[in-house]
Amino acid sequence: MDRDGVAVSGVGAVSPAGLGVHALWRAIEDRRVLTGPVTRYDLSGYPTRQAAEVPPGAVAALDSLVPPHESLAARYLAAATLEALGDAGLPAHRRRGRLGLFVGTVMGTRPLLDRAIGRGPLGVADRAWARPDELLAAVRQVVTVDGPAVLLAPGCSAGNEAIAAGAAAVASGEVDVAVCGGADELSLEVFAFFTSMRALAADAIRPFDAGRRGTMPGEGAAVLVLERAERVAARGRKPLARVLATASAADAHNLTQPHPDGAGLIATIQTCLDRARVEPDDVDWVCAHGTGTPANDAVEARAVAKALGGRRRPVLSSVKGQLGHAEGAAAALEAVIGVRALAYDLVPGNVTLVEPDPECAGVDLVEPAGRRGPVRRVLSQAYGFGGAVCTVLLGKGNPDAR
Amino acid sequence: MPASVTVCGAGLRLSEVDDLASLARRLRSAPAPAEVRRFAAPDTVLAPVEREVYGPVEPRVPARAGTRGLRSLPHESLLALGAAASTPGKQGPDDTTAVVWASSTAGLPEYATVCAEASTLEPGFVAPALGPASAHNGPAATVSIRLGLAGPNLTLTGGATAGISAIAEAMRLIAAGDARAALVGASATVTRWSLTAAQDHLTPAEGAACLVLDPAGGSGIQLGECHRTDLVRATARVIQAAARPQTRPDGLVVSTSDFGLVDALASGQPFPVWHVERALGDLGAAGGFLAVVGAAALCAATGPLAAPRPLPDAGLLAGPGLLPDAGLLAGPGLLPDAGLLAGAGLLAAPGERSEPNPIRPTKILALAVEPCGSTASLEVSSS
Repeated sequence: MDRDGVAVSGVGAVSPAGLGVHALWRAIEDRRVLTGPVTRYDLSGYPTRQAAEVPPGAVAALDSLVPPHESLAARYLAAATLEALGDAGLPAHRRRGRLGLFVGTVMGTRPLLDRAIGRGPLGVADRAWARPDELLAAVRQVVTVDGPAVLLAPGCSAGNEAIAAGAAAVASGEVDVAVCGGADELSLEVFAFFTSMRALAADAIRPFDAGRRGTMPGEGAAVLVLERAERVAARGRKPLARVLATASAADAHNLTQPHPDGAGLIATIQTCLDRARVEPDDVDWVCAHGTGTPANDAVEARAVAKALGGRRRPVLSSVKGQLGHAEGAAAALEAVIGVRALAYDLVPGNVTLVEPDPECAGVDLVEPAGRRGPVRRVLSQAYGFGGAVCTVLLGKGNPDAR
Repeated sequence: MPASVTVCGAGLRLSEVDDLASLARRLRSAPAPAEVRRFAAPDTVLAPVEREVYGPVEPRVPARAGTRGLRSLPHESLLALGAAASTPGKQGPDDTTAVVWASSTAGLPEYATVCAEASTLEPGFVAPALGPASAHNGPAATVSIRLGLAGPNLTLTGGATAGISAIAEAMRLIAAGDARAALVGASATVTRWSLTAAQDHLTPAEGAACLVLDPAGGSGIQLGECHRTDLVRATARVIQAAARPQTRPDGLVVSTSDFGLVDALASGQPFPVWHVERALGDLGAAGGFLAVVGAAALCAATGPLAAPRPLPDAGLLAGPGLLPDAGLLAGPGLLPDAGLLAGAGLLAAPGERSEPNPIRPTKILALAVEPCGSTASLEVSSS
């Protein structure tokens, strides 16, 4: 399987920064923290009321872009897909070549049920909340899908697993175009059980900070269009990036806690390096899972330091301090940011970092301002409840820039 | 993707189905009577309903999966664990085996219960253990953690094609080197919550099934390359395959909620067509997976009669009840396609032991079709 030839030809996003990849990247460059008070739900009574929402104006603007659907996540996904196909120069219908859809999610359409949460017995208004396939319904209305339509829900590694599945489908020739991404909307159910688990931060998500207190839910969708590099070139376009390698594993340890040694993460990082035939020092940015929870970040930093031990400490930051944790969309959003980082030679910073955790000393935590300099390879890792781990290694679109 | 993989074992937790032989019989028989059960959802506006369903199914989790903490696991995770742990496999930790699971319903009652509690309890009093189980990946995570399988861990959800795609993704992980083998399965449960989306013309069902897949190399039951496309192309493939003796399957197992489509596919075909939802009920994503398991069961049923040599995995498949009893298969009324199979030289007369047929292996196509027109198909054969 020739993964080396799988290129990213287009990207799209809906995020707490608004509609579009441009808005997302501007927020990253401008170091804006997009978490804040939740407006969509009544959280009075909850000790913590902050999350990262797609702004109401952006939600309203979806009306002019995509068909109506009860699920916001389904509409986010449709909007991001249309943007990504447009970016790739591919029509949504009447294309040459077979198109497959590979989408990751954690909760899918289930948050539709959240709208019935109030005072007293729970109302149950519709059927779509119990039909996971509805997540793809809006995309199907705006894009002709004549290849696989795969909905992956392995936990918070979902976005990366979708990229891995799509890249393999392109490499094997099963599809000519793989629309890969992730989507989730803000879930009051997640907010409720994270509150019970005392896993929510009160003021900000501070990944890898000694004072980190927890995470905050986020939402959105992000899509990468994958094709064989020759196909992109044949259309007279240049790849935005390349998928150099992907790898999957599991911790097989605990439903909610990462393996204390980061076993699955280490395995996937090493496999990615082996497959891409690159050395640890060749990775210019590790886009961390970095949820800001006490349980995660130290384990992750130690695992990355061990897996990428080279002449220098691995350069690492998490964008969740800015974007919140968008669950199934998180890794896809991070991959899109990785594509932009490769294009603009900017390593995003740990924007909310105040006091680096000494337990994370094995990695080079990027200062809040970020770093300008050559970015040739980005390693993006994702994992979550259940123990599934998936890591993606991206490289520049121009292979000569390796 | 590898061209094919070998099925090294199977585990089943289905209503009135104990093994591959009884699954083959169930597919071939008239629909079994379903049990009327009452479903309620306390603390909600949903009124209790009574509905015919296939179930309940007992998880019967083997000791291999451990006994501590089982009571805290969701029912669907227990069904998955029961099916997975009953397959033959290495004991102890294993970082080379992937777990790939498909389900439409995993985590659904837990999600709804958290919502109901959030409606009726003060913030912060929702049961914290329910939340992590309210996503789709509970069965795959439970199987991985309980059996110590640290290979890739994937969950697919959606409609019937997810069940066949789970096999395709497992084959992809094996081909890429992420795993050397895979435990692939699917499950479904029936609750008051799942019934909000149930279709009136189908009988909801619960259960779980899984297969152990190894890269091809031996003979036995083989799973071929998966084809995932739209309904027009999938139908064309079936018609083209049927038109030529070299490619014609010996049967077709379909998972779809559309009974008319099954009738149309069966019309004029020179081979029998079996319908998962008609025989086993509506299992959502697990329906597509059971089309493959059903095809494997039908192949296994004819395999010992047709195979020129013993299956190398016979020891694995010969666990309690996994290999069919030839006498049972040859009994009256159990093989509606007996004429066809006998005509093809695959089936002996009742009570008569067949001579091996070294020329023609059994080949059955499994097909899943969703209402949106998405399809997945896979060829199952015995060699």
